[in-house]
Amino acid sequence: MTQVDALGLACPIPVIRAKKALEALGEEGGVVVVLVDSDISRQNLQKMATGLGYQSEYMQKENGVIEVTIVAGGGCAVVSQTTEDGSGLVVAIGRDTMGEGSPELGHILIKGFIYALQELVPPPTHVLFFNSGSHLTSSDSNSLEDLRALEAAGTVILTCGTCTNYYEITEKLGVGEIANMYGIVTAMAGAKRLINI
Amino acid sequence: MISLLSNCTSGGCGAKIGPGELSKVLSVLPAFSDPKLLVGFDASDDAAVYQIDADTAIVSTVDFFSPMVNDSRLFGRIAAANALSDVYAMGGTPLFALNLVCYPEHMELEALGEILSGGAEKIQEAGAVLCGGHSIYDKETKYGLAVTGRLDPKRIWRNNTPVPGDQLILTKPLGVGIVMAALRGEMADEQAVQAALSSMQRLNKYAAEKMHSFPISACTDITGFGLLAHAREMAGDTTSLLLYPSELPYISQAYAYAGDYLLTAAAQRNRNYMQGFVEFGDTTFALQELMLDPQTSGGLFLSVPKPYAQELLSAIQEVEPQAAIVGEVLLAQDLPILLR
Repeated sequence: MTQVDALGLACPIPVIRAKKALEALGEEGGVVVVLVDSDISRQNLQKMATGLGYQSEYMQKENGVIEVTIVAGGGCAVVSQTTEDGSGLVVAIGRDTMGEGSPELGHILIKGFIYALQELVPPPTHVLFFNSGSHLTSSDSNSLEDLRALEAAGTVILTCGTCTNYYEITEKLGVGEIANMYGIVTAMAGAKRLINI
Repeated sequence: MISLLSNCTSGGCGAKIGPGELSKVLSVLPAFSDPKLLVGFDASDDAAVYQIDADTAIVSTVDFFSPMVNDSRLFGRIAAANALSDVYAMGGTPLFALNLVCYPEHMELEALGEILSGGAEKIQEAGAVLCGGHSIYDKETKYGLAVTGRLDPKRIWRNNTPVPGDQLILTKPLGVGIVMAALRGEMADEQAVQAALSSMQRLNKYAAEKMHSFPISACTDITGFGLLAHAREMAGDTTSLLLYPSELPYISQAYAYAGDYLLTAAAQRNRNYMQGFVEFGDTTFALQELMLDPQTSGGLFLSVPKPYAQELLSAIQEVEPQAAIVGEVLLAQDLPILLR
């Protein structure tokens, strides 16, 4: 494993250093771990990894440090349970409360629901957030920890970009990826079972 | 030699506060109204326009940023060309300018003199006069201008009034941000850097002068928000802009640099901001990045009725050889920006 410390460095330097480290791995491939302190740098690193056909994932560490792991070639891959024979379960969450009635109760219920989701074995393949549901993946959401656990278990977490733009929380995305409607429709269409909240 | 860049976190228009973040802040301000304020900040236009009498309005704008190049005089020229650009983008003529200066106390004043001289060169070239300014100490060097110009209130080029059937012209090549990123990564070749520096220093005056003989529907200049954000702003609610990615002018090496992921943070912020407003489809990654690339002192992006487009383009190409017709205006579709 090669570690690249790109803390305090502005784009494009983190991407250049990561790319050089990946190239240095040669034919047999390997793992490059990059430390950055800006989510935009994280996004640029993952954009590069995806573009070059590498798998990548990231973890939010303490003090704003983000650890991006990029796996290149050589048969090793980021362990992912999101496969064809996974649960096939897609959960679509279009609101930040659950059920009709008191909004206060609704907030408690949706938090409980997301907590319970991460107990599911196997986990959902996708959890989709849109409209007021997109607040749940924002950095001030109280479900962030549970959603990150889900993500770590292999669930793909997508939030509608039109929605985060509308609520002006795009920059505050705390977990998963921004998706467009095409991505959301593709996930729903590929579901074996779909739960709508 | 002193290094202008050494204590700068980010330079040029790439340092702009993101469009989403900015509109959130501005939304808490009261809406001022005055019938003489023809274009105010609620319109997100390039500059403010205030009417004096039936035939005269003044156009007012301010722009400053931290260095994106190490050469002091060059930085001065670029910052001034960038500040003057907003006046040209509204259809105005610059009259006078004031310097805005932030400068570190420990740095030699000689370099500041070079920055101001570079700015003064551009003010002279614009045919305007420098009439004062304001300077303070700051940790980071910053320079720019407040510019006042004049304009005929009946001929304001707003940024959001294109007409379906119009064609769209972009006057300068894209890719300035990518080339400067490659330079920071020490991966840019000299020719690409020269093309970017020459583009950033070039006043939009000359292209605007050609435009004055034509009925311009809408015009803006490309900034750190990138082409797509300005296209979205231009489309507004009543039209959609169809862009031709294959026709876009760009600094040729920038395409390869984008393919090598020499990317700026600003371009990624611009990408996030554009989610839901454009579908990239099979547009190559490099062209996507060029359309999102933050431009410092970028070109004019204008909408003109189709019958005039070719003739106007030929006229503009006399002063901006890479200018091109890059799209057309449609009635509003599902998305504000379509690519084909």
